[in-house]
Amino acid sequence: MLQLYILYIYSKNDLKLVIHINIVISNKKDAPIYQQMYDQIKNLIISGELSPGEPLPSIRGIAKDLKISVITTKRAYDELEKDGYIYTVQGKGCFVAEKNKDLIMEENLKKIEEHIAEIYEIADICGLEQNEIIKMFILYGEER
Amino acid sequence: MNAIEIKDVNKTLGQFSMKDINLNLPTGCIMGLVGKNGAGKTTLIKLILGIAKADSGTITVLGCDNRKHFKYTKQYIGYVPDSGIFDENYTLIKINKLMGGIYREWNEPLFLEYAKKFHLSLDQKIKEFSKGMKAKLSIMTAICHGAKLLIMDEPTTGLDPVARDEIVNILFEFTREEDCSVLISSHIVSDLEKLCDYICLIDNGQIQFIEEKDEILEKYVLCNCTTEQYNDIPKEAVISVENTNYSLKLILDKSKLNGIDLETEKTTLEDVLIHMIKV
Amino acid sequence: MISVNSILKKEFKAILPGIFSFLLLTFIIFSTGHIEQRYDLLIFLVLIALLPFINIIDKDNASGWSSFSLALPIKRKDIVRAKYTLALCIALFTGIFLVLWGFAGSMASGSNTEPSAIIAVAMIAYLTAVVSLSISLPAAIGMGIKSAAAMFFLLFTVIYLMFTLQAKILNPAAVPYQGYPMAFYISVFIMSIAIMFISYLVTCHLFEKRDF
Repeated sequence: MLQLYILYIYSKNDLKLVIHINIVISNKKDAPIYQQMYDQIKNLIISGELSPGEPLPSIRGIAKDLKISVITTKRAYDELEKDGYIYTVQGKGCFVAEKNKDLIMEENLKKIEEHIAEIYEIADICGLEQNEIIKMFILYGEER
Repeated sequence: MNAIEIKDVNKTLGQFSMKDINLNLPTGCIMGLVGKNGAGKTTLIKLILGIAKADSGTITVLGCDNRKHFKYTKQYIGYVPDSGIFDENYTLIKINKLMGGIYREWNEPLFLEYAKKFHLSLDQKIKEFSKGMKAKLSIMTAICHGAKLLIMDEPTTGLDPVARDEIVNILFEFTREEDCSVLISSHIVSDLEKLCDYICLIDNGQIQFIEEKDEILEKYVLCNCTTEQYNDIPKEAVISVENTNYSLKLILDKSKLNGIDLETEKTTLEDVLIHMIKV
Repeated sequence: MISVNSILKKEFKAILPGIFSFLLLTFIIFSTGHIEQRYDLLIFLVLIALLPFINIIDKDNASGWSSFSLALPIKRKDIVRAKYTLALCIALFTGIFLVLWGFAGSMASGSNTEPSAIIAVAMIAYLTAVVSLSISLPAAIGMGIKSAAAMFFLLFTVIYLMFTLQAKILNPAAVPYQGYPMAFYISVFIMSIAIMFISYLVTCHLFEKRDF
């Protein structure tokens, strides 16, 4: 099974700007395909590579280019819309939603939480106590 | 809207019978039909097209009951049979003319373009074509008349991998339009795995299941384990077991594992289907 | 109907060799006059004209076209109608041609064959053709009996013998059915059309139900 890679190119109607976005879907990864697509588009939106108001590739178009099922692509897009990252305009397609500050904050908080979990895991392995971790944290912050 | 709706269809042909066939192909989707030889795939296709008549039940194709006024709907159906179509002394030029008189929206430029793309000579007799060339011709004939529904019976059997890849790409392009649907029966599961949105398994004249292809691949996993580990697995999660004399090779339903920690891998569609048919 | 025309054109092109052979051979035989001595031969020339037509059915079955054509935007009834139209045309054409050529040949060679003999020959040929077609078309198209050409050949021979054996035994020298009044020949002709029509209805009914 090949790792599918596409360089997706589309142009803005009025400004004739050519934008490249990368979406990489792999059959080998454990995550389901719709999850991979969801995550990658979400990251493109959060990182700002896809700005608010920009049109997304059409569901059928991207499905056929990436050679994946239309149902799966639709599921990813539906999830993105449900979570507020994109919105649909009847007859025109899907567009990136305005940067929802709360959503982004929530995302970032989640990431920090994941890192904290990692820290605690490692701490448990080498027997570090909670107050020692906090000391390290404060020290690092002072040096920054 | 559904491109094909089959409700409670029954059909007996000599010794073989198809029972309680219910199938829906949503518009814009690709459905793969799989099953053993003689399972009823070709019969099902013939029932849909009206080539064989159902004993009971209804079949609606592109919104039209296939027993009534079906002639107009067939303008929009492309059919690729598993045998040949034209007399062996025919040439592409003759076929072009014949089809042009039959289909209202026959696309001659597209037909000639495909002939060029597939390196098919326009005035060569079909009897001199190779198997692959004949298969490509059948497919060309089906897609050059503005069809909204393609029904294909083993279109890629006997083709080399490069040709098969070309055909798969053509089918992807065909379904870029959202009102174009495809029903394809094939033994070559790897092609179906690339192509299909839905997979329908037929065995012994009955539909065993119709599921989304990606869901099948998400739901089932492959697991190599020892006999001891096998005993801990809830039995309803096990789809099939293969004893390799050194370990057990299992296909499991992930959702029924109840959180047991096992080393599993992704399975291929072929593995799942072979084992489901065996059961 | 436009789609059916395309099919008709296709089949018409395929039957031309038979028509051509028929024309050539009848010309050769008729030009020597005395058709009453050669009528067996002439009647079998009609078989030559019809065999390519029947052969299309076998060829279409073999190539997969018969089955495929049912997926085309054409009614089953129209497929049957196209076949019968062509069949009747060939039968009529050969019958009329035998009459015309018979008179022409008789005059040209000065053999002064009796007109009713010429008409009788044409009638037997035409009737044998029509009855054979009326039995073999429902069998081949309606029921899918294999090797329509062989069956037609057999039928044609059998029916010809049925029509002519008695007359031949009674009066071996003359053409069977010669010397009858015109009304007789005309009523046979009308009956033949009726037979073909009944056969058409039977074939339509069988073909509608048939599975491929």
